[in-house]
Amino acid sequence: MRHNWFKCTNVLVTTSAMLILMLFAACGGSAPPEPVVVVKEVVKEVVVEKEVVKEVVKEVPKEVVVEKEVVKEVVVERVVVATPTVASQPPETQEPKGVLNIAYSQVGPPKFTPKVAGAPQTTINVATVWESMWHSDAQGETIPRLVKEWSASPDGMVWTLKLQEGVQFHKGKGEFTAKDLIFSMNNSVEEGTVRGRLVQTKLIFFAKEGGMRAVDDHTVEVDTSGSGPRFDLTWYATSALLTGAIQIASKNHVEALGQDKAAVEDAIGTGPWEHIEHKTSEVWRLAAVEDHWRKTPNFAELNIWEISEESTRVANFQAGKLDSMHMSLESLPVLKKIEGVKFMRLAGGGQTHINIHGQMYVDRPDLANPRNSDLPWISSNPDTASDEWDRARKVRQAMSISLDRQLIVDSLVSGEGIPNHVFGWMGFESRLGALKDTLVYKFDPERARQLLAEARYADGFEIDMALTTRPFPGTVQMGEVACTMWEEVGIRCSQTRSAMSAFRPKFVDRSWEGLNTHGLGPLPEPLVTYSSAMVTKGVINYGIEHPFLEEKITEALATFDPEARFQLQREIAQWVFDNAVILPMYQVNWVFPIGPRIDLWDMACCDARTLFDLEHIPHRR
Amino acid sequence: MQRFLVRRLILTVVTLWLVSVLVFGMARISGDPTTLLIDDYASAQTLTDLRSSLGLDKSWPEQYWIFMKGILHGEFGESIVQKQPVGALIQERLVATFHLGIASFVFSMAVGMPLGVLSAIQRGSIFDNVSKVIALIGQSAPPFWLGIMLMFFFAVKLGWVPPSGRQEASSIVLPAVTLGWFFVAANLRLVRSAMLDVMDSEYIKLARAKGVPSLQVIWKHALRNALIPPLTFAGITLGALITGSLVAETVFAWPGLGQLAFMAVRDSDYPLLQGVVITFAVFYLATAFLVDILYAYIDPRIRYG
Amino acid sequence: MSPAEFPGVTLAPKRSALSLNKLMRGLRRWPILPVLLLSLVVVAGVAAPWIAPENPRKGDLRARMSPPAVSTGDTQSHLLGTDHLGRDILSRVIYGARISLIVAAITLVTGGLVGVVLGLVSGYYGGWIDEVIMRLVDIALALPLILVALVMVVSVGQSFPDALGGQTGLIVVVLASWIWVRFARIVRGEVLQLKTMDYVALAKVAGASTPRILAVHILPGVTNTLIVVATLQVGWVILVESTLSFLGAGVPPPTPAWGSMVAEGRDYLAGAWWIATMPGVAILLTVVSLNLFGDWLRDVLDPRLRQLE
Repeated sequence: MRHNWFKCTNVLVTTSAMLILMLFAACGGSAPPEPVVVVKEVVKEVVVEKEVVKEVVKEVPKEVVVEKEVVKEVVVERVVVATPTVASQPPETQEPKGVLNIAYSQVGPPKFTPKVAGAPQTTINVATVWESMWHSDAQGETIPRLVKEWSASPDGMVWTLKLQEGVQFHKGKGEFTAKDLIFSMNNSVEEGTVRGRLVQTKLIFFAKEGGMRAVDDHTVEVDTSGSGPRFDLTWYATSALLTGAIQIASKNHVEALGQDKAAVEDAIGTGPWEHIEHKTSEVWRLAAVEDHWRKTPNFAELNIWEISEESTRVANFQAGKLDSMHMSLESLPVLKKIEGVKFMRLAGGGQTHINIHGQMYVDRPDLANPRNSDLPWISSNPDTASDEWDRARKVRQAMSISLDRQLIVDSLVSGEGIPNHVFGWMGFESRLGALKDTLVYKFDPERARQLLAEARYADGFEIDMALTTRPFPGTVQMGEVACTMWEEVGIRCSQTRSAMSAFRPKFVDRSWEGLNTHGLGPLPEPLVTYSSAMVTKGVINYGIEHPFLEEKITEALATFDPEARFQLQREIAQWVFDNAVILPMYQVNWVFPIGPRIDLWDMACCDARTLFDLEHIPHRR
Repeated sequence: MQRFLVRRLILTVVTLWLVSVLVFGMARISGDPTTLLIDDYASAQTLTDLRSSLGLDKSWPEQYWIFMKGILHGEFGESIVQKQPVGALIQERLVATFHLGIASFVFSMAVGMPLGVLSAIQRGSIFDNVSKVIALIGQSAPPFWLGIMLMFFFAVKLGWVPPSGRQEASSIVLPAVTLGWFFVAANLRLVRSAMLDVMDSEYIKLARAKGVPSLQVIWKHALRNALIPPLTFAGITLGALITGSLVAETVFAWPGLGQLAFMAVRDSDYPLLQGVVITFAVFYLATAFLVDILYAYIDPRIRYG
Repeated sequence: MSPAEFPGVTLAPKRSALSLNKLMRGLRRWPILPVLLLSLVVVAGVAAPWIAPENPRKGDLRARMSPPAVSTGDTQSHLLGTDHLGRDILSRVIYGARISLIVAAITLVTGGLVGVVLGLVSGYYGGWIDEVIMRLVDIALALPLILVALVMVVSVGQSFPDALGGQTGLIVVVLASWIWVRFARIVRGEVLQLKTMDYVALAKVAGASTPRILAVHILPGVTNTLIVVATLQVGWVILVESTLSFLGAGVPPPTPAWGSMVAEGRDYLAGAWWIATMPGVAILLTVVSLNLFGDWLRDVLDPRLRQLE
């Protein structure tokens, strides 16, 4: 019967097709050694607090009359003494053993040269295979790393950096010398680079009439002539505090392999971990470098896993497969129940804010979108004493005081944080002085309604809210919650969700006429964010440009003396607060779960989007 | 026969070409990969320089031509984000997806078939209804929710298998079950109705009338024929498999093509997205083509239809 | 037409669609539970503003992530718990029925219409029209739906005009442009068969115009199939919406749609499991009911389609 024959042949053919397909199927990979779970009862929490900056600064003002001008020169001598971190655990033997398993939500593809490394590689790289010029300690202070000592000339224009000696690149690729540092810096600003803060990096290290020079194998001179005396050498892209630390690569190795290959294969650095294997979006396998110049790790192997789903990470941690990981604060209650779990807590890990866009008060013929004073929060008159300004200011103030920041902290980030009232000052509260108590937005919806009525918006108004995602807990949700809180006073949002990459063009061309949610990590000083995002020269902008800010920020940038500089920053903070040109929301802690096989360690504070100082992670006793 | 073959082949190639055009346009609509690569504080100049170094400032027709030239040379270009040849990236992950696909299929057969046979024999009983509902759960639950629930129950609570990844031999279990459960219902139905058809047929009735024992009837005749529809169905499930693998691979951190595809969309990585979509399309079309050929070989009517 | 396009459909002689005996037998065996549940869903969707205990978009932050009363036994608190923004989940599930149903209905109607028309045309006229439409079908099937949907929604989603439904509207468009294929193929197959029937030839001889033939003679024969297929596809649409939400391209928050609720709540499955599980179970029960109902419908109307998945 044709019917049967049809079916028989069909079976034969499909079965053989399947067999052929099966030939393609490989077996699973090799099994890793099973982690041993040690159960302990203590649940310890460590809170790290920031201390006052300790610096030795000598200021000698000089007056020189040059023809018709009076020029005031400021001379600063800054000497920093190395303060190595000390692990809080009793010293372990130098023999690394065991396997560390850490999971992040994103690790990304191999980015093994300074030019191509963007987030998150910029932090993961310098925490493992490479090292940066400077590092931070647990208090957030800049400490030496590959740069051992640094000092400025009397006029502040030439910095002398003394480099560590005896530092070896992995796999016998030679000793780290000045040429490697200069090469890495050059590479990071080359055309085709993905790095940010190029403007500042170039001003400092590639100054018009200056530049970098290798005095000898272990000394580099940085001449900032043409950019004026710079106090911010360690601020941008050179220390692990601000994300974007430039990893110091081996010049010989990268040139021998060629840039393209060196970017994706064969990572060579000076860090305490050596690259073994990198499987994109799966795992990065690393091995401890024995006899490392700084610290040989306590564990022999390190696996950095990429697991994008939060639940999957939690499940793995619960099953004992991970020693630490990125965790959402919402998972705290679940993870707390695990036997022997501890938590690494860093206060001041991130500061969130809501930007109010459209406040373009500097005359800018180049801007496509002129200032739209029909919007309730925008004034037609840049003069802060004018009635129009007062009206718009009341609107913005109403927006700020109708937000219950404490409730947001308690609910959205499970209490792991504090409300923020002064934009950009996270970690510098001690330097606010008396302002600390006065610069507070008291939650008062009644008063908010009153202010809106005075501004003739008793019926409220509509506003666009762009919920842009940032790597800080709760940034999108705080926007949603803010909108619900504003409904109480008559302000109605129309919300859109947006990836930061899609929203970015609006940042750059200042074309957005609404709000967006944003967040920042810790900063070397508030001035960094003021000068990046509140001035006309800034690449991106948080919605405000004003002659007052232009003037003060420029002045602060030229002020070498930290005390004087902070005084100016306080004035800016006061102005920003009084005029409510931006809505600071809260500061949030970074929390990492610590599994039962490991213990807490002193970790660099505070931009902890990834874990640092992994070589110090101890075995739990 | 040959004319039919050639005709089908040409049509397949044309379809593939149309797919390539579509995916080319689609990828470029999806967004700009350079904005994702650069740092937040990077300047506009950095962006422009990066775009031109990646050849993204050329016109679309020009870019398309470069793309097609590459295909003719057998390569898909280089991934913008990962800076590695797309072909190599796809090859690396192909095996993992095949592994997952075959395991899911085996699972769905191993569960669907016996249930289908038993349901047919016990037609209308409680067993029939209950097994249908159990099978339907796999087809009706949001796959990622199902996967995560299974993960918490079997990997965390019971600790029988690893929660995710592809490191151990037993890592395949959870992803295969999550993905395969979706097809259990379909297999069950197919086997059940094929069995019912055969059991109702004259041939079987005659065998019974002749006194051949019931069990023998079922095993020898009905079962063999019941196997066929699910096997032929296998080729068609490929499409749903690819869709499903995206979810399963993301939840279980399974390093396969699905995950790669998701990354490509997320990063607007044009060459990678193009490469992955075309790979999927090739598999689907190749399977459909093969099945067509087989049927045409068997049934001459179709060749000239 | 190749058998690859109709997996498992046996080309048996057509039985009469509605013999009274069969109908009576079918009605006696009707699936009570699924029908009850589906009615519940429809009622919830229609009467949401009157049934839902609270506002689905406004949450009390102080009560966020509270467990469902069904597990704590505390009858004063929220029956199904609250989500991460303090919104009552029961209300959101009820309103979610509305969104899911509307999305599914519009998708099916648009996709179905397009599919039926194209299928009719393709099957009846044959020739190059048929070829072109079949090529479209091939392309639609060869492109992985989820990827295409993801790309489209991610890129165009936000700028999709609100008049057309915004991002949700775009999702409907994308899903409809995939689902028409299912209808087109089946209708085409039916048409190919039917057009060889005597009564069609008679109508032609009598001078009936083509549209009339299609509408009056062919379409009714196809209706049963369409009903069955449509019922089975509703569940599929709901599931795909949830997968799209998982991948970040679903119905945008804060609109309560079942799929996006499950996707939003998946990070909390370890602890606050109810946020994702309640809407997840809602989807599960609805789709299972739809499938069982669709199966029964098929048995009653046309058992020949038994092997259609």
